[in-house]
Amino acid sequence: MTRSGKTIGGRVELIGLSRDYGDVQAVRNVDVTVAPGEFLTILGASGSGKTTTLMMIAGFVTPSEGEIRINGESILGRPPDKRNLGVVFQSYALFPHMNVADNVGFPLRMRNLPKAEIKAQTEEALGIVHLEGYGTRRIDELSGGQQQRVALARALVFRPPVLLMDEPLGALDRKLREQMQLEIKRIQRSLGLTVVYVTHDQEEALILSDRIAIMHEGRMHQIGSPDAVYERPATAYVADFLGESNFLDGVLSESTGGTSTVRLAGGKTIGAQACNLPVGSPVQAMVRPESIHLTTAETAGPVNSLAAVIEESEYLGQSIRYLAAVGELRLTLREPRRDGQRRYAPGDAVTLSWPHRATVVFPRGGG
Amino acid sequence: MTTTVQAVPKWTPTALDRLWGRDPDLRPALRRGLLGTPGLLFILVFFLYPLFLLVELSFQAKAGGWSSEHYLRIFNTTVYAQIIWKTAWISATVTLLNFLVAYPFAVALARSKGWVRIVLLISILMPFWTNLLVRAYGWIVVLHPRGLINTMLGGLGLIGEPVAIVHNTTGVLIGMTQIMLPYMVLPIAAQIEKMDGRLLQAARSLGASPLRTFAHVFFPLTLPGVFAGALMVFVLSLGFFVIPALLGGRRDILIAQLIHFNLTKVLNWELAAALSTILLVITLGIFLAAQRWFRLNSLWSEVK
Repeated sequence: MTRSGKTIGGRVELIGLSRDYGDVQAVRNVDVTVAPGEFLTILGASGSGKTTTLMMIAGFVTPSEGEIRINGESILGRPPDKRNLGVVFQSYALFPHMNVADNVGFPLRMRNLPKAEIKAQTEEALGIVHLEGYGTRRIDELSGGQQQRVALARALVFRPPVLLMDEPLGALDRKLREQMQLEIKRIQRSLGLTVVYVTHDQEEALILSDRIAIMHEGRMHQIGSPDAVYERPATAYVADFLGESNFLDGVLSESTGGTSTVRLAGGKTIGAQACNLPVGSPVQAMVRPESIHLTTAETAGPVNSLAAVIEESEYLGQSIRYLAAVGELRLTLREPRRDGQRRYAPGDAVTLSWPHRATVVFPRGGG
Repeated sequence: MTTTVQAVPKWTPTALDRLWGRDPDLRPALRRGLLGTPGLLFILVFFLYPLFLLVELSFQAKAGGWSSEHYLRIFNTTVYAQIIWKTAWISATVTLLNFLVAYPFAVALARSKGWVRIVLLISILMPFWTNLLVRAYGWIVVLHPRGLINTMLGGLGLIGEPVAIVHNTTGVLIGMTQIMLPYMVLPIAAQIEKMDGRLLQAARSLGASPLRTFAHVFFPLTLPGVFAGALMVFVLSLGFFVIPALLGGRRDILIAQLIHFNLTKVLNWELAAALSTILLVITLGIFLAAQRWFRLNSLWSEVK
């Protein structure tokens, strides 16, 4: 490992990882491989098992079953201090009785490095997070954002192959959070770090990640790139959790090659992405509000079109949100605001249209 | 053109408003301070005033008039200086012994749950609720040459002659250490419970072994509790009377006994007052030093 320049990020493998607490299965049979230098976010609501998964990698929770490997080597037998992983905790967990430099230098002191080396590397790490000259400050003299940077520097200073982060930006206000997201991304890229990041904030996950793993009730529902999980959600839960969505109940009436057709409750049919369910099974068709247009213009490929009546309209600044009724069905749609654009009022008759490929079919009744 | 400013009639709070804390000028701290009035009055009448009388008495000459003869006598008599020194030495030793016993106990108490915690809490508080004299005589029963410990050790054949562990300095140290235990255990346990467990996890994740996590993070974070406990034990030990009188030997005269002796046997009240004043000044000095160096205030207020 070189002093300056790139750290080579490690490969993290979670194999059949489970954790039970009595009858509760907090984590069930999780399989994930994080490539060297990859930014993987585990996204889920509270109680989904995401933090338990992270704490198993860090060594604070013992798995009931399964295996964890870093660069092909099992780390399960090692205590947390022998795993050599950087961990950034939710509330930073900075040592209040030490100043900034002593906090950042702590992992180096624990590795018994010579004093001069500790000083040089501490300063370098503080430079990476833009806190040069803050070494002698007390922790309680720092703002939340600065504390966050110190926590990051402390977790990076010993050049761990993997950085684990547990909702590190949860306590910051929106502006600072966005700024820190960019910072974390910049540092991760420039050091070539492997990051496993845990959050419940879907926007944060979409911005930061190379891949997102969506977790619910202890299971990984889907692992994929941000656009893949958003545009082609694997389960209704993923679609519902990530962004806004319209769910339309119906029956699968046709399923051929690349497309499928769903007969909606009102008798109308719509085209959708391919699915591997038997024809005749009850399904939900999902379409994102921003996929639906009020005009039939500029969409390539086959399009679903339904006559509808506007019921409500809300002005959101960047966009306008409408609630439209198609017979018994209610759909939310979102149109980007444009200058000189027509705004529809409740009662206006319109045509809703969206591409077949923007429609995803899920089995009904299941998750 | 001139602008006329309509004068807003200023609301002046009445005495009653003040009493109810409705006066905006009255700062909140002061307003809360008003709640302390009854207690403050009580202390003023029954504590500060007698204290003033005591100090006044210590400066009165036997022959009448003002004098510092009692203080001069105390400082020029070797026995008195020795007793003050011995009092300080015993108090410091009790404080150290107390720390050694109390720290592991406080860790166990703070970490325990359920019935174990209740048992530990009761075992520390039960003696606290028991009369001091009863406890002192209890210790005599245990430590006496024909007491519990000596009988047991003799029965096991570990000792031939009974060991002298009461009516000497050892007895005083044992008795005082036990009696002062809650004052050391409770502040340390409070400090441990206040500690963010993630700090310990963070230390482990950064490469600290359990032992080094204790030395570099856990122990330093409990220091305010240790200082508070040590201060309490040391200061209370300085003025302790019952235990040294009952468990000590003839040579274990501490300052409190000396005061008692002058009050009841020699009837030299002025000298007793001077000794009391010296004890008071030493105690106040220790509190002021602690306040300055360890920021004692932070112990009573919630630390984030």
